[in-house]
Amino acid sequence: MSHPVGDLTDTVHQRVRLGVLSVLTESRRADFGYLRDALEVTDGNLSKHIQVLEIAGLVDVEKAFEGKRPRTWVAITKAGRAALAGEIAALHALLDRTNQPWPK
Amino acid sequence: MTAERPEILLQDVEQLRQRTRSHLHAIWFPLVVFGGLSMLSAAVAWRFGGAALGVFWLGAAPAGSLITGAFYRRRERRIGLEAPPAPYVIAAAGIILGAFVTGGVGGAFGAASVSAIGPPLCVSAGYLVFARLARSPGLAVVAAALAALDLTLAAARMQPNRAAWVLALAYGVVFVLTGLTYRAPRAGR
Repeated sequence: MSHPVGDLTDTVHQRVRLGVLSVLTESRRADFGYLRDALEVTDGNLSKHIQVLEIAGLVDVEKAFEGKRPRTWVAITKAGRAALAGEIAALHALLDRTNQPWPK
Repeated sequence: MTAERPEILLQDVEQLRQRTRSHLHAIWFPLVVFGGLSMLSAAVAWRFGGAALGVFWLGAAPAGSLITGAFYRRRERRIGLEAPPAPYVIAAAGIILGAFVTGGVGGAFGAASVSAIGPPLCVSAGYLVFARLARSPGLAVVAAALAALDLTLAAARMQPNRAAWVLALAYGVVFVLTGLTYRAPRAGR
């Protein structure tokens, strides 16, 4: 039987990226400012992580203008939802595994 | 790969998801709007009889829905978080259609009690769906309690015209109070 740690993926298994996917899975989309405030990170930090998720096809990024105000909207993709579900399942499996007593 | 413990990450995920849901689902607004309209409809039913409710809601239901939709749209733009609209639109359409069908069918076949209790039951069913969407046990309890009142009045064979305005008033007062209760702790968003 393989160890559940093998089911974790580097793309998703990162605190900020996991946070982005968690927020987006509950919504149709969220803007950059909302994500930054919810995750308590800087603009640069968040930008880097969203780029990673976008390249991996886990989120879509849409830049728009509302009047003269630029706005960046981020939405989770189908692959992103599946990746988040997989990560959560792997974390639960890891937790179950680590809670088992060591064999004697 | 980072070394955070799995239980901490899972806790963070759940907290973020809950907080996002609470920011998204400002259920107080439609409760206050439709609660207010329901109280107004009680006055209409009391003055003109239960049959007048159909005419009242023909205008009030779309107006209330448009106002609610505009509120959510404006709020989503302001806070930067959008909910998928389809489930809510479908539930709202279901309430309106169900209420008009039960009210109309009851009236057409002379079953005044059906036209009195049918529409409020449809409203309760719709709000149970909203409660599920918003993951709000409190709203589910309110909707179920109102449905129970509806069925109790039917079982007690209350005179339909009287049942119509009593239920409209009860739904209205409960919805407004529930809405104001939900509104109070979230004045910041």
